[in-house]
Amino acid sequence: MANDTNKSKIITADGEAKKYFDLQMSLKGSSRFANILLTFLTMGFVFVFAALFWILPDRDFSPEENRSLAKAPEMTVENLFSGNLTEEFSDYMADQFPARGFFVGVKAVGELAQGKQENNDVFVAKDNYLIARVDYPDEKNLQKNISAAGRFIAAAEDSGINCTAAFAGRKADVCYDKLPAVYNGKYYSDRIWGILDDMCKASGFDFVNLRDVLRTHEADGEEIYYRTDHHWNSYGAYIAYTAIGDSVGYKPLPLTDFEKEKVTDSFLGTTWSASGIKWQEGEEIDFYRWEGDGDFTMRVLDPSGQLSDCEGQRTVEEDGDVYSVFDSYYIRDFLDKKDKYASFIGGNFGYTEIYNNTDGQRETLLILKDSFANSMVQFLARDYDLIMIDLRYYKANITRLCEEKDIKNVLLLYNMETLTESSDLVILNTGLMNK
Amino acid sequence: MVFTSLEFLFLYFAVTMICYFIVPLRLRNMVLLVVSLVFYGWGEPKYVVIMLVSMVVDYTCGYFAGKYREIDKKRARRFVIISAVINLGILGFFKYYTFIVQNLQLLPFEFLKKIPLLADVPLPIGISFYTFQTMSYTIDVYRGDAKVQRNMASFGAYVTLFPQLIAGPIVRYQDIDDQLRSRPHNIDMFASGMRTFVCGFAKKIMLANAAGALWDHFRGLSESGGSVTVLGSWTGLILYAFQIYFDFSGYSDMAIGLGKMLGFNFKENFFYPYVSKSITDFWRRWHISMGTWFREYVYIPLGGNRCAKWKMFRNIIAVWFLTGLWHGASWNYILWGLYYCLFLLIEKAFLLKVLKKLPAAVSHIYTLAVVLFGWWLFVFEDLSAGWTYLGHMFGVGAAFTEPAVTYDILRNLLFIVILCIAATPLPKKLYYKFYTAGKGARIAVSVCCAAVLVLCTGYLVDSSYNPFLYFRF
Repeated sequence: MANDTNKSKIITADGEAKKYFDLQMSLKGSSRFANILLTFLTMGFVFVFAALFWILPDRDFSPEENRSLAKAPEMTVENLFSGNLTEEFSDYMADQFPARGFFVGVKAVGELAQGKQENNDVFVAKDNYLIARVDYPDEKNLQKNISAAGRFIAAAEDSGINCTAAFAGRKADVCYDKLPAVYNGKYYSDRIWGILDDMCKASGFDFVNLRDVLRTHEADGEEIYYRTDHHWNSYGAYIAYTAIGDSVGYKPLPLTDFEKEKVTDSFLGTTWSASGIKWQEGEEIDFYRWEGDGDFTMRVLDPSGQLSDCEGQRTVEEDGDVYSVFDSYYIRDFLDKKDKYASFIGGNFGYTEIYNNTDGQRETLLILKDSFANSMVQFLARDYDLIMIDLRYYKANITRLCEEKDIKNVLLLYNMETLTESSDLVILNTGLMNK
Repeated sequence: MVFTSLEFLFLYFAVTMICYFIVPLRLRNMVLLVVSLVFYGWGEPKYVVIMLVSMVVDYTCGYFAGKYREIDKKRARRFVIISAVINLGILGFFKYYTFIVQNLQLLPFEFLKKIPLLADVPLPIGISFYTFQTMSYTIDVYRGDAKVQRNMASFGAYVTLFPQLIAGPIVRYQDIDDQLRSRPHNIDMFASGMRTFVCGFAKKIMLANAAGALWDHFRGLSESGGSVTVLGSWTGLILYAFQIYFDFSGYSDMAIGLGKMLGFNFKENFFYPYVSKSITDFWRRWHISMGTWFREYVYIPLGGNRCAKWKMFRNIIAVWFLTGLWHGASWNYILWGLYYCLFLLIEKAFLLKVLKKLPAAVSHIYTLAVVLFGWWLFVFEDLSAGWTYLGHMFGVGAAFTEPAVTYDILRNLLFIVILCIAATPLPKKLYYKFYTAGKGARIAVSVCCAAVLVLCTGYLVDSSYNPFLYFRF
């Protein structure tokens, strides 16, 4: 507008558009079929999926995403004018869209075709490994958790309780060789573990560095983590079990004392879910069995009855709390579902007790843990009765719990992701103020 | 509602197309009006009222402006003024009230402090676009560039026309006056429109959104202070430049394509702005419909360049002040407008002649650099955050790079190359070469077009896909 001379010499957007439009129109006769085909394909796609959306029944739960799906919104005038209706409808349509998994896979193909090497923050790494990206973890959470753990450990040791802190690596901390070289996963991993070292020193406690231990084995070419899940596999859990023995106070048994049972080879874990890499093959889960491992009782605090459909489950009420009780710490029902890792102790619950039925004299080990501990149970249960606390779901006074249950041995077992992504360990300080 | 959503494509669009094409020709404008109101009211139904007010005002003002323009120019003019006051009043209140009051209160007068700051004056979506459109009708009628539209449904269809309702192009009434009365509907138009629509859809979803996600990532690294790098900051801002172009031009393409499906021919809104050789050139290629609007309805009425030199400067400055302000109620947008004004004036004075003598590469680099720093002004509403970012770009408190930044740039290298190529006319040239190659090629284009729509649907579905790693709370 500032210069409206020479306009005739300049090819304008509209002139160009008209030229092309005229060209298309001049091919009218010869492109009629192509135009009909185009209209048929595109509108057909739109109409078919629009129809399928209304025809297909709604799903309640998405196992891939491990979350409830949105339901049809309520059609009320109030809802409409507040704008909630359309917002909820948008979520509803997205969650219930037909062939959702297929479209997620289509997007992943689209991303990888552009040479991006990752999708939804998951690396498609070497050796068929899917590894979640972890460049910049939240150091503030880490600080909160470590300080809380430090205060708890100091207080517990004052009361004569043996405390062990053991921290495990995320998959990227241990399997960083499988990541693209330019990314330099080691650099980011070393950085945050260096920070963790300093924080633990400042908080006055030592920890067992499971990342380094696992890393040694990984470097030898052993498979430590699931390819499709963020957890270590049972062998990885075994290595961790051998590494903490000294500190907790038991003598780790050699691997030959356990018998490996392959319980599935179609496990597709959480990293796979996030990645959208639909063409990845499933992998195996192993249970490490031993003679006498069937002689256990597991009591899970399960107020909403999430485990009530599982085989062999009994509901027991005690002091107003509802427990699901099992005769094993494996729940094999989950091997037929998406979340197969939950076959170890049924998944994550606030409070879980596992005790041997015949030997009433065993020591009780209290484990403050995230889901990494679940597959270590099969080893630890050989020496200890276990009480397992997941602070995400159990917001109570742990100091008092130790007194009530006469706990003399505590294990804090966390992986770096829990330490950086939540600040649940702060709950450990409940009750410490009074002392 | 936005075009790039599942509910648009698989609900609204599907239903609208059926309704539109099953009714007889004479009812189609009526259908358009109704479905467009639904489109607009989808998110927040209350704001439909504002649009209806604007519509009735201009229907009436246009009617009287047309009635009196031959016999009583003064009276006709009065109706143009009424239209402008009401439309700009609506726009001013909803978009600029808070900004104006906040700035007035900086002045040292006690009484100004008493003006209440209304909490959260909502910004009705697309208000900047449709108020400009409706005003253009009354002005066009007054100037004799268009006939009075007595049919309320047709006029309503023009105002509310859903394809360009919320992000342009700003269609001037005179451009579609005839089309509102009669327009062709045939499968060739429809298919052509669908191709344009899908192209815009892909631009928005696969290019703009992906570039935007990376820009957010790099900006986040810079702002969190954890990982400040020179390379990341530059890449980030460049990606933002791509994001805003593909976002906006993609949206325009979708609007133009949808319009074509409905039988309308809207004017092009973007013309490869990033291949410009000067800022003057850039503004002939960027958001053309807005530039035209300001030229036709502000610059020329003020006297344009056919007046005293000082008046011409005043006019240019006024236009660019308003252009900046139109983009948002914040000083950085005004600065952004005036920044361009400065370069345009310099070019007008001498630089344009100099640039013509220099190698094309120099002109391109100059233009892109000016545009890039323009986007820097544009994107940071908070100027202090902007200064910090600019500092990072020039190494103030920033490392040159670090592994994850290098990695992110390398893994997106192909994508960045795609962005660069997509911003030039090359793909379109190749496309037309291919398209005219034969019948088989045209059939292949049709199949690809449908495939791209499926791929984009994948991206839409994926954006709602939120794997939750832990147990249900």
